[in-house]
Amino acid sequence: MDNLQHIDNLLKQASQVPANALVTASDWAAVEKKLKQRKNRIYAMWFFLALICAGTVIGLIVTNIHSLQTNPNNHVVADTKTEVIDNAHLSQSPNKENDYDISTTDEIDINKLLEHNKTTEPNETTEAQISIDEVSRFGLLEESTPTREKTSIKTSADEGRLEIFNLLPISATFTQPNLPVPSKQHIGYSDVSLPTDKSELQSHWEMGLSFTPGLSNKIASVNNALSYLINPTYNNTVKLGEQAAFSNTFGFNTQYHRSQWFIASGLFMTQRNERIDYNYKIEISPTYDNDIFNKFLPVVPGAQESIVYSGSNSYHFIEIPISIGYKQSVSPTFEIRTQVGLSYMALLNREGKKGNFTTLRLDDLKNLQFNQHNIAANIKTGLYLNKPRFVVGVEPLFGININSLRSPETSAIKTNPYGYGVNLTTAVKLFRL
Amino acid sequence: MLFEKYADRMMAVCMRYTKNQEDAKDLLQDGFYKVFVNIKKFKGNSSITTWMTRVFINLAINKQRLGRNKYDHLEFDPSKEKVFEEASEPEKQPEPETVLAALNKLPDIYKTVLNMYAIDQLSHKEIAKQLGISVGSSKSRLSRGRVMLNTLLNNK
Repeated sequence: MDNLQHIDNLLKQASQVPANALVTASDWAAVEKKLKQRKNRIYAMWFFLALICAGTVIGLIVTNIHSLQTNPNNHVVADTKTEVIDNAHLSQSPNKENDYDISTTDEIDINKLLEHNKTTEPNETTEAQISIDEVSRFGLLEESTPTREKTSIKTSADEGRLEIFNLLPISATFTQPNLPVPSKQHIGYSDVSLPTDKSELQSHWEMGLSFTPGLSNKIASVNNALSYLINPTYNNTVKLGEQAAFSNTFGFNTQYHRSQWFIASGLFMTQRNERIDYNYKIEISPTYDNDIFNKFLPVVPGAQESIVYSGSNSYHFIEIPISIGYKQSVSPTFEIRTQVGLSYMALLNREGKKGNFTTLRLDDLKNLQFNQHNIAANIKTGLYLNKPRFVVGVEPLFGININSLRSPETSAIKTNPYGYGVNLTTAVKLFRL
Repeated sequence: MLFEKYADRMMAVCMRYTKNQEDAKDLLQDGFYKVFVNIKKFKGNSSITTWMTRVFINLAINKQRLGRNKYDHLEFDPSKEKVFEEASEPEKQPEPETVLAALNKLPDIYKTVLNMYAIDQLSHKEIAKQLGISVGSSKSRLSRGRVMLNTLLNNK
C-alpha cells in the first residue's frame, strides 16, 4: 500500500488551500450572537441562584422571628390598668354598645369582655382562662409588639377605658367608678401559645428537593394516518420486546400555601426508560417502488434476518410542573396532601435503539424524530410529616404524557409514556406571611 | 482578532470534515463558539492553530456521531480491492480542489480517518480514541480510504 502514500501528500497540499472566500461577516455575527446568549444564560443562572440564596436567608430570618413570637415559653399578657368601663351606663344604652374606637386593632366585641365583668361580684377579683382565639378575636394582643405597647379600648361616651398590656400574666382590671372602693377584676391568660394547626393555615412558601424512583412504561397506539406502514408482525416482534423499566425524577420543588390549598411548581430532571429485549426474525418485509412503500411481502426462510438485542432506552426530560393541591391534617404532626396538575416536559436527550415499525430493523433513537415539547398530567397524594420549619412527604404518584412522544408526521405508532412511583420530598418553610 | 485571523484556516478544516458548505458554516460557527468558551483551557503547550484545529475536529466528530451511522452499513467490496491496489499514481498532479472534491465523495468513516491521519497528523491511537474504534480499524479505514480516493482521482 506504500504506492498510495502520494495520496497523503496530495491531501496535505490540498488542505493548504485557504477557504477565505467562504467566510462571511454573518459567520462572526452568528458566533457573537451565540456568545451573547451564553452570557445572558450565565447572568440568568446567577440571578436565579442569588434569588434562591436571598430567599433562603430571608425565609430563615422570617421563620426565626415567627418562632420567637410563637414560642410557648413566651407568655403573652394583657393588663388593664385603669378600668373605666361604666357597666351600668353601657347596659342601659345599647345603642352605644358598638360605638367605640380601637386604637391598635380592628374590632373588639366589648360585650364579650363585659360578660366577664357582669358575672363577677363587685369588689371581687376574678381570674379567668380564655383561649388565644378569643384574645386574638378581641384584638387584645398585639403579637408582634416587643415592647409594652398599650392597646386601649375606649367607649365613645368616654365612660370607660380598657388598657391592655402584653405582659405576663394577662389580666384585665376593671374599676367600678360608682363603688366606693375601686373593684378589680383580673382575667388571667397564662401559658397561651398558637396551636400548630392554626399556624399551618397561615400563608407560606415551601422550598425543597424531591426524588421520585418509580417505573415507567408506555401506551402504544396506532397513528391512523400512517397505519399502512406498520409491519403485520410488529405486535409479536418489536412491541413484545419492549417492557417497563426503572425511571426517576429529581429536582427542586416550591409550593405556596394559603389556608388548606397550595400551588406547587419546580424544576426537575426526569428520566423515563424502557427495557428492550428483542429476539425475533424478520419474516415479513416491506417492498418499495422508487423509494415509495408498496406492500409487505413474506421473506423466504433462508433469507430471514434475525434481530437479537437487549438494552435499555432512556429519555431525558426537563420537567416544569404546575399543580394545585389540598391538604388535610390527620394529626398534630401529619397531614395528607393531594395535588393534580400538568407538566411541561422538554425532551433533552434520548439513547438506545428501537425496532422500526415497518422494517423491524433497529433504529438509533437519535435518528428518529421525537416531539421536543411535551405535556404530561400528574396526580399524587400522600402523607406528610409537618413540622413548624419543614415538611417531609411520601406520596405515590402517577404521570402520563398527554401527547405522543413520537412525531405523528413520521411515526405510525403513537407513544404516550407514563410513570408511577413514590415521591420522596422534603421542604423548608419560608416566607411566613 | 481571533476570528478574523483564523476563520479561513478553520473553514478549510470544516470543509474537510463536512459534506457541504452549509454544514461547514455551522461547524465553523459552533467551533469558534467553543473556542471562545474554552479559551481559558488553552495552556500554550502547542500552537493556537493546532489547539483550535483539535477543537474543530472533536466537534466535527461529535456532530458526525450524533447523526451517525449513515454509512456504517457500507462495507468495502473486497472484489474491487485488487483493482484499486493496482491503480498507480496519476501522471498529472490533480488540482487541490479536485482532491478535496474527491475526498468529499468518500463515505464519512474513510474520509474522517484520512483527514485525521494524512492532514491533521493524528496517530492511529489518537484516531481510535477519538472515534471509539480499534487501532486496527483505524489502519484499515485509512488504507481503504486511500485506495478509494486514488480510484476516484484516476477516474477523473
